[in-house]
Amino acid sequence: MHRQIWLFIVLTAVGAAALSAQALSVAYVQGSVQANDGSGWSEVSIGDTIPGGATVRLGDGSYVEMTASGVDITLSQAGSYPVASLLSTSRRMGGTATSAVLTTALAALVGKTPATHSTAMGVRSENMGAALGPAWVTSDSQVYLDAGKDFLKAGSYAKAVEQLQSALAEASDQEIPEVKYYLATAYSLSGNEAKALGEIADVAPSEGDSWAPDFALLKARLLIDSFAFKQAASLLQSSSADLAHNAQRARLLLSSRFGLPGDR
Amino acid sequence: MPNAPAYYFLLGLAYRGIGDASNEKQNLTMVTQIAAGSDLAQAAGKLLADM
Repeated sequence: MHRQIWLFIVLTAVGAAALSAQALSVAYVQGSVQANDGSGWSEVSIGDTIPGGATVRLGDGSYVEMTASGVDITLSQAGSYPVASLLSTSRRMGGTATSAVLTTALAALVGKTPATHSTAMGVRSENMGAALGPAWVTSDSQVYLDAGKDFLKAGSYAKAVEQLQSALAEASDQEIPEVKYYLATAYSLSGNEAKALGEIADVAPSEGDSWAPDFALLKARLLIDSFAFKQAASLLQSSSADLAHNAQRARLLLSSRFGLPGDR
Repeated sequence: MPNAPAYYFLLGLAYRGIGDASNEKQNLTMVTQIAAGSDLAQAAGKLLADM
């Protein structure tokens, strides 16, 4: 019995040591991001290695993406984060498997269907129409927005981003929030979470906006992915009434059995 | 309460990150019940098994 207890203690200690020894590689930095491995705070840059025993500190409005073996870690909220704690929490959150399921669910919210020949043709037609000019009773922004939504449904996220950027450039003040939501969705589905968070940082849906419930789910996912758990829980709790009124849309998720997004 | 599997899944994840095991379990269990058979329910089940 004593031998088993000692074995457990030793294995736990070895596991903890391995975790704390794992370093993070910095893949992307935006704003002020610093690390301290015991020798004082210093700014980090893309390509830097942050030791497993260090602490990472973010300033307001900053963003950092870091990787270790089999782990992607993103931070978006100001504060200090011990690397060992980040690695431990990241593994507890289910890693890439959880992220893949959420990406599929997010794609289902914008009505993504598996790309087919007819879908692609339809999108090309929409895009061409947008390129030729605005429809007679529809704003320029709306035409680009519709084309962007079609590309989202087809899983062509890079093309969706192009159309939605054009929509944003032409959007009126009233149209901007919805366009930003769809643009953030396109960024998120194409794997660019920094830009996704940046687009929706100042977006606040008005009561009754049809896209508001999906916006809450998108933003909560982005917050969770960047370790902003309290903010995500708070956002979801405050959005529960909107979500209740959109149960029909949420039920789309029940049949979300698509593959992973296509053109990243 | 809204019938929204993604809502419960995300809320369960948020509580998991905070370290609130009780609310995490409640929300992830809800996903497995209202969305049984879906990818989200399977992912929720794995997280519950890992608690």
